[in-house]
Amino acid sequence: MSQPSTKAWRALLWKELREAAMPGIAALAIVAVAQAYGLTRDQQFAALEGSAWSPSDGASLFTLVSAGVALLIAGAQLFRERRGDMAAFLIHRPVPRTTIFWCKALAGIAWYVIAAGLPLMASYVWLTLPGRSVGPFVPSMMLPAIADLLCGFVYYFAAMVVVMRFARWYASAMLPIGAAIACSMLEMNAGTFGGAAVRIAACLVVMAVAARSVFVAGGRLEPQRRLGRSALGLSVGAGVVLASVIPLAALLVGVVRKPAPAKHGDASSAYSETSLAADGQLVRATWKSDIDGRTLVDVRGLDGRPLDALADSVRLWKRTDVGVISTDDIPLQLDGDYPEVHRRGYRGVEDVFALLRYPRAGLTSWYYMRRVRLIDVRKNYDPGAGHTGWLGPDGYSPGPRMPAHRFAGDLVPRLGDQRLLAFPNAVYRLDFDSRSIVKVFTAPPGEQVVGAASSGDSTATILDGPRAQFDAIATTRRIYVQARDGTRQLVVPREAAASGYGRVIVSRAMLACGRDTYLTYFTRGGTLPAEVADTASTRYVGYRDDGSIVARATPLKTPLAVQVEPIQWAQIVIGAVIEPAVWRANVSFTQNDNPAKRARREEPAPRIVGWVVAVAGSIGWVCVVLFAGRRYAFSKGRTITWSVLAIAFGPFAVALMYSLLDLPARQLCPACRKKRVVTRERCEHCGAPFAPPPRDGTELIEMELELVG
Amino acid sequence: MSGPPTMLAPDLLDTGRWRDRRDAVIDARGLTAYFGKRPVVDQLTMQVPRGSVFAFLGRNGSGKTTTIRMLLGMLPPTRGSATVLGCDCRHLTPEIRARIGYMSESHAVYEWMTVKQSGEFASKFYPRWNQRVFDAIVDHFRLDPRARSGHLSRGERAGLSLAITLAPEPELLILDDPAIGLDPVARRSLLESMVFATRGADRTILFSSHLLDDVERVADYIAVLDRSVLRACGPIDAIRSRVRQFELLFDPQHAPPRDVPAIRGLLHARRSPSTLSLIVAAPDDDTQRAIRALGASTVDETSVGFSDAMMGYLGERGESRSFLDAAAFESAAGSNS
Amino acid sequence: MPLAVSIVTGSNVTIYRQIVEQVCAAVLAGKIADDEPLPSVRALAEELVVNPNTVVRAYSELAREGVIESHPGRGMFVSRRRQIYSSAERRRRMDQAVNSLVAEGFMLGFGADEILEAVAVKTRDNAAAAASAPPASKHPARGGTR
Repeated sequence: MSQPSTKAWRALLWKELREAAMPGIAALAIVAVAQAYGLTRDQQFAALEGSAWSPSDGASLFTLVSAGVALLIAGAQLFRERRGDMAAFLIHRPVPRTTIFWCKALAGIAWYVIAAGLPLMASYVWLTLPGRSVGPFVPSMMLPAIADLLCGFVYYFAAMVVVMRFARWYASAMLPIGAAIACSMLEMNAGTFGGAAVRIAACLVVMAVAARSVFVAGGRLEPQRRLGRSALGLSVGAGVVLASVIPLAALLVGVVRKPAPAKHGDASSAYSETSLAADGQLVRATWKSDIDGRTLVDVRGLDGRPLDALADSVRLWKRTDVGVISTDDIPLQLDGDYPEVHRRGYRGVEDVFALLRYPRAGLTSWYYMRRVRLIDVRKNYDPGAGHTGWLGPDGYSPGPRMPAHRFAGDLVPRLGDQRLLAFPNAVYRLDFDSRSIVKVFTAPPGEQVVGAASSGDSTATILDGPRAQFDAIATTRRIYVQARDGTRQLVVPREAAASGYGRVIVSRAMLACGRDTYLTYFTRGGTLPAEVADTASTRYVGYRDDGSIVARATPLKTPLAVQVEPIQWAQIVIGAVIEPAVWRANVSFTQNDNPAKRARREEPAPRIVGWVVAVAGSIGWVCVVLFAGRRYAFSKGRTITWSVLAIAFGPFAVALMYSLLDLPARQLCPACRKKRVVTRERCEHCGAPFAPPPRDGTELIEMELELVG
Repeated sequence: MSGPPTMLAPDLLDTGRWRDRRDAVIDARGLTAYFGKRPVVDQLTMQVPRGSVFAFLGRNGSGKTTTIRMLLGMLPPTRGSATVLGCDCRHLTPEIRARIGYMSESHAVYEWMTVKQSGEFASKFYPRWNQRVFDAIVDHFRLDPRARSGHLSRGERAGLSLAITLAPEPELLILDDPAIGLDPVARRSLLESMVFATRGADRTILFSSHLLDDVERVADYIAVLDRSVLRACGPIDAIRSRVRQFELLFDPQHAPPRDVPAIRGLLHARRSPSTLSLIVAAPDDDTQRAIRALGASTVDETSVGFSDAMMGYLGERGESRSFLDAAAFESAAGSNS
Repeated sequence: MPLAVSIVTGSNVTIYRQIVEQVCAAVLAGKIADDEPLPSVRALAEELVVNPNTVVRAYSELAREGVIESHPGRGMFVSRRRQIYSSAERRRRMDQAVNSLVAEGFMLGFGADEILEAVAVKTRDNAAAAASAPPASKHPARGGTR
């Protein structure tokens, strides 16, 4: 009967399910309460994020609670049976320990799925009921919670490792939880649900192998096989890294990098920028910023002559009577990377809907639903909160019935809170108050809309009249400026020199009628390589109403007052000692931080010193391993393994070594007077066996069996 | 008391090294366990012969439970090795485990199961489960099959635990201090069950205990662990017969020496103003001479009872300091029968 | 007549010796009929709650001393020809009993004559009782030389 019978399997499973019932039901109650709280709290947040319980970037209540109950169930299941007589009673059966482990794990996970999954399903049902969800709700918004639910499996096995493992200090027993937290972080950073699932599966395999191995070995490291030890090492190691990152960062930042002496005082707080003045000329304004905000120091023309008369115009930039009126940023690239439309993958709601109108008291909120390609108009605060109607290209239709006619194509990125809704072939203007929609632009053949913005929508002061109230639409080839009623005011080709730039702003100088429309091209968010984008200038092009160019300016970018930081030798040295060699190599090849810093680090002196210290540090860490190996009589293979790890991972490997290995007690060898480990039959120094325990003369050993056979 | 060996058993009172050609079901060689820096079991070498009732004696914390845990593969030995039924104790296979019955010190049972369920649960693991044995022991301890295990008294729990352990008809029975915490009635039931268990042909019982009367009744071999070291091991009567008591009577002029001299093998000494009573393990001619040199007017050598012999091992070595302590020991040893 | 053996633990006498002596005493007192088998090893062990090997040992000692004998297939029976003790052993036991009787008598304040008188009376009574008893239990007289 090397294979346990089905009867044994069933009996064990029954026992484990029954014993996990109490923690399982408690967990169910906890999750249910947390979900109920999450579903009903803070309606404002719910309206913005879809549903409050649905995780956004980071951890949601469900992330925490599901991880917590996974830990709770595993802890409750194992705590009584981890050591002592109850463990012996469980283990001493004619079934392999692996079977016992899997029955336990299956039962625990079954209860976990019930405890976390049932409230989740209930939440789903609740949210799909009409009038329950404040924001729009679609099934894919369950994915983050489902990923969290899966991640709970990793927490479950991590807790098993924590409870079962003999750790030499209490704190180090908790380290595998760090690995589970790392898994949560990986899961949250995954762009897609599939990616998250793959990461969770990988962590789950490692953690389950570690948990099985620890369980079968009764908590000790020595009886485990290599695969189990490696998995355990990985999970404890992840915890070591996670636990040491914070103190290490504190050491590097807080202790080593002392605030530099006040060299960058007044000089750097003054800066100048190019702006459009109300009379239609480009000026250079110098500002000084301090704690109260910024004050204008002076205004000069691009040629340098002072233009003090324009100071008010520059200072009161958005005041249309004296200044300039501009649109929000208009994206220029279909594949641009705009921080404003930060997409968070499956954990965010951006792929589900675009929020067109923020919820405000008493008003409807509008969401463009990407999948159905309609606008969901919802009420948030009234008793009848929830969906009130759909808005399609043909107008508003109240009630849940969706109009047949939908918007065509994907919504174009929006870089501001505005009333233009741009699609590749058409641009619409929304009227929130009358719930109406007007098509204001149709893309000519061969062109595709890439962005649109209107003036005045997001500014507080709105000046009447078609020159102040205009819409600007960028297509793949041209920029269109038109009045609210659709009358074309200006059509110009996109500036060739600004190809690859990310965005454009259309501005009008209100005191320069007829030659007043400026297009300002910015690099941010464009497709230029980072080094080019950092140095390329903003481009200004001014047009007359007939489309001819008034002015074109590419003022040199004022270089940021680069801090000439002294080389932080202490930081370099300490960093090199603690930084694992593999990270160092990795960072040297792929780092992508600001060029000034990078240049600084790549200066020969710090680089050489850094590497020399890093190599010396590695040797030092290897010495620590060799010392421990000598002290605790490691086998050759073990010494080599840990030396290699110490070279690669430096202090992390050493910390892992000390928290993972069972380091044996030592006592004096009577033969060679050196300390020897108690786990070896013979002294590792002189080969002497252990002396028998001291005799006191009362020994009566009357028995010596002659073994038969 | 010696004579030619009989056909039934080796002469157990032969004081020479005792040999037997039976095989050992447990064979421990230098078995050692450390907890931190302290050895809890120090190089234990012993064999448990097949078919014996082997008692494992020692005070609390002397390493009995640790030894049993190691033998059952619950605790990896720090050093040394042991085989149980011919299998390395670190890697007991399910097949071997099926042949070993183990009852833990705390009489572990699942408290939420009823007596009946406990039996049914355990029976699923053993193809050779004997329900009649289970029922007989449950009946012997007067257990209600519908009672929840958690509601049983200590003695009843022991009965249930024993029933679960015996019903698979194990070849080797390991009982870790089975009588601990039991009242006299339950203890008697337990002993009866143990005697009942010896019906199994060639069944070996290893049990640890510190109840000397129980051991005297049912054991044929004993091993004594004294603070992690094995001090005595062998057939019970052989051990007992080699512990001797010397009654020394002193003349009024010669008071007994104030300090008991270092006599090899001295287990225990007790004194009154004119007498000195020494319990000595394995006295030889040197010991005799050393005792006679103490200057007593008469020296009387007698055998001792099993409890007295063991008390020397289990108590503190040397002289018992106060009368009260000695009396307390006596009553503890003498009250169990 | 049942064989009543009672075991005392913690005494100076080993359990197997206690069984031997009590069976001897029972046989001497005629409490076991010739045709009645002694309890089996297993039965006696379970009754006394002792290791069966101990009973085995007691029985083999009894068999060796000729008190009981084994009838294969039927069990252990009281020997027809009993030689319970060697003459030296009988002497020793007698001395032991007399010692304790005399010591007790003196301690209770009886004189030597009174003790002798009491022994004589008792001996006479026992002899009379033995004469009227069935012949099977006259064995004590077998070596009786006073």
